[in-house]
Amino acid sequence: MDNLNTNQKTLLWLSSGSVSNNNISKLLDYFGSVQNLWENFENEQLNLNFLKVETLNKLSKIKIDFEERILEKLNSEKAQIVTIFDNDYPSKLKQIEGAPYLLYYKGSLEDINNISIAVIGSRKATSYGKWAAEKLTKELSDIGVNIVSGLAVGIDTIAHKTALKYNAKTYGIIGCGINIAYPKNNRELFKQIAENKGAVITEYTFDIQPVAFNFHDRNRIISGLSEGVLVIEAQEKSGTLITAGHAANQGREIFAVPGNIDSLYSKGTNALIRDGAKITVSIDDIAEEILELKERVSLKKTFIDLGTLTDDELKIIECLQSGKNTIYVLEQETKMETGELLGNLTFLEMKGAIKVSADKISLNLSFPSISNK
Amino acid sequence: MLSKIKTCVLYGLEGYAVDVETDISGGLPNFNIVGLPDISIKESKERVRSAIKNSRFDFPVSRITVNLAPANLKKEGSQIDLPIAVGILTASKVIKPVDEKICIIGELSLDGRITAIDGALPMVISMRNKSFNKAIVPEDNKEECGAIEGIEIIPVDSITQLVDYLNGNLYIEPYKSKYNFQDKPDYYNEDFSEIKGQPAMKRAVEIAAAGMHNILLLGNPGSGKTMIARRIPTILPDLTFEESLEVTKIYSISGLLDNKGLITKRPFRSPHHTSSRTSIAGGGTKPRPGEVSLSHCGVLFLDEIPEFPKSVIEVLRQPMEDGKISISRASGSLTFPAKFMMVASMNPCPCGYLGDPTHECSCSQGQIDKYLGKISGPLLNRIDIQIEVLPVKYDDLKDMKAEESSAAIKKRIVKARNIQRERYRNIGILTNSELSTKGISKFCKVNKESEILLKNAFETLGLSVRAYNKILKVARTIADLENYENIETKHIAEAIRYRSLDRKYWR
Repeated sequence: MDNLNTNQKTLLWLSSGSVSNNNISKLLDYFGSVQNLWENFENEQLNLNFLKVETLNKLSKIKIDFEERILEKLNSEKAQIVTIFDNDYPSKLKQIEGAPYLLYYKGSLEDINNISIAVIGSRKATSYGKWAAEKLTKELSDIGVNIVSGLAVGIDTIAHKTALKYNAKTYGIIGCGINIAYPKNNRELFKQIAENKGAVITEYTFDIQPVAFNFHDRNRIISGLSEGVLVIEAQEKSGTLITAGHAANQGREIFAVPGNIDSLYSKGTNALIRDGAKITVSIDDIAEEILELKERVSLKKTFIDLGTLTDDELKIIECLQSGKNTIYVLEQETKMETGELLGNLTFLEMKGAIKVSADKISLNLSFPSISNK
Repeated sequence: MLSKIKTCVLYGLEGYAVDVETDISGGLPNFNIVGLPDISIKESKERVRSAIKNSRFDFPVSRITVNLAPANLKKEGSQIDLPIAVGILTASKVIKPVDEKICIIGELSLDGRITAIDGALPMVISMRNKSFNKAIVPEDNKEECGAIEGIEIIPVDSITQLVDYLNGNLYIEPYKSKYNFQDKPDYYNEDFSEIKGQPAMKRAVEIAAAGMHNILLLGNPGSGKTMIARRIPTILPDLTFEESLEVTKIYSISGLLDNKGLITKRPFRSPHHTSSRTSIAGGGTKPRPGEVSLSHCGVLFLDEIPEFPKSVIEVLRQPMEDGKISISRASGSLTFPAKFMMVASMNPCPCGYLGDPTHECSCSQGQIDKYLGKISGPLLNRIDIQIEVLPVKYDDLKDMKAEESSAAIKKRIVKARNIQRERYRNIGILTNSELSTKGISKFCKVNKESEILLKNAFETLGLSVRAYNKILKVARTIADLENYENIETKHIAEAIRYRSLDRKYWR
């Protein structure tokens, strides 16, 4: 970036002075225009009693030579910004209540207005949650949907990684300054997202630490950027449900993956379904609510060619279809030796037909019923 | 009068011949031991004096000088009591001069009885190799020593008896202990048939045992990790005579033999996670074998491996690589054998319930990262098989079929071991786990189809490169278990299953 217009400069200045989004809108109301705010701030300082004294002092202190310093910071961090007054501001986000005036990002916002689904869930997911997140994200990626999530560990990370793997654009919204990688393990993921024409986005200025309250607020951006929110797994009182709440307020669709009623991590999703969220077992359920996706789904639907499977592999698929999905039961049903069975599972996993986790084996694709074959 | 008796001191597992020279001369009554003796030998003065008196011999009232030659070697151990006593009795002409080919070891008690010593077996083996033809050992050490060929073992239990023997007034039959390694009583109270369900874990353990692969079991509490680990010795092949000698030597110098002679049961050691580095690796001012050496030829089970201090886990790296451990001290460096099969178990997180749908995991992400971070890359590198295990469900328990017994599994493993021993006859290793990178390219050739499978596996499953050689080694063992000459694609496919944790937890 070489220079800033008045809007950008003023909002960056307010954001650097840690003025909350709420107070920015009060300031704009007071001054009438951004231009006026920048020029007459000093004269009116004493009347701005909704701001704390420290904030006012900080604002006047950093105003001197502000433009040069912030440009240097932005360039050295390779970060970019977009304001609500700019044309490339995400159009969906503009509609929500309390839309952030300023976004910092790394990467590209070029495709952010395309259809996007937020894939969210708990940090400590079960193997079922991980499997469901990967399966549904893959299917969404395959039909070119953007994947939005929160770059936390657990379901978020799986959603981002799966999107990258299947070449979908993915957007990670974080609850801290853009120059802070949190969680640390995801540092590499941050880079990949930016390189892949997606973006890591935040409303917080540089060096802001990831405190719990920030995450509450950033959740409104996750739902705000998406047409719908897909909740994979959630505990009863969790950040995931807060995001779902934002989504409901913003008029977004809520999709929830049902789970066993004895699983702690499905209590939240099952409650959402009870309260009216769309029960989601496949991508068809999402397409039903979002019309633009309907056609894409019918074009893309994949069946694995049964001819490519061996007899043993078909036997395993047949068992899986009837819900016999643990190694112990499969061994008894198929009468295979343990070693042989494990080998066949690897072959099937390579072919993309199944996903093996420690507790059970799940079918990835839709199969025609084999017993009729 | 001067006398000279042969005895032995140990340095590590190696015994050195020592001359005990005793001189009795006129002058003020005095008793001195020279020749770098340590405290335990200096104290033997008092034991020797009382033992001789209480055996109703006269302790010479003169100037007694005992020299331990060679004078430059540090000597330690209570086995020198007996040769000193014999030296004094010989010098005072109670005993006739003793043959140079006889080695005497033993500790004395004050009443003149001869008590057992630590390390009798390695001493006697070393003395046999130095062409002694007779060893006089304490009665209580005769079982272990009696197994050695090529040297006569004379067990004695008191000074009086020994004096009679050396003067030719008493004949003692050289002792031979009887061992039959093929047909021994069933030692184990535990059996594989007690483990219900868990077919994948059992299979992985069977493969690990067949190729001596190190194995990591990961699972929630109550999934049977410890239960299966404790039963691994029951499916390992019996110790051979040579192995048994090696193991007994180590236990002998550690003082862990309980008079039952050679150890014929494979060692199973499970040190607690509060164990210090020295207790695992071995050492101390008087270097002793640690847990890695005590599990030589057997199983070293590290329950809850992330709870061990990192420094303790890291000392395992050298023995896992070389099959031995070198301990360097100011006084010199010692090497103990340490070729073991490592079995490690861990939870997925500190509280154990991560990923369990019915229990809430109470750990923070930082705690989980720290927990998994304790298992370093280099250590993970040395673990061939990793498997995730889950608790058995009640529904599965209900209609459980009869499970295979340890004996049946052992039969298959012995067969696979024989195939391996035959194949590696010329390169000096016994099992697939010991294969070097060069050995892998020679003995683990794969066909075109398998190569494609491996390539796909790396891409789609996100395996790390370090997994490549492990998969080949494990596939080799699977092929041996199923009696295939070459590694088939299905063996590779199965081996890939045993690397599942690589991608899941340490990505």
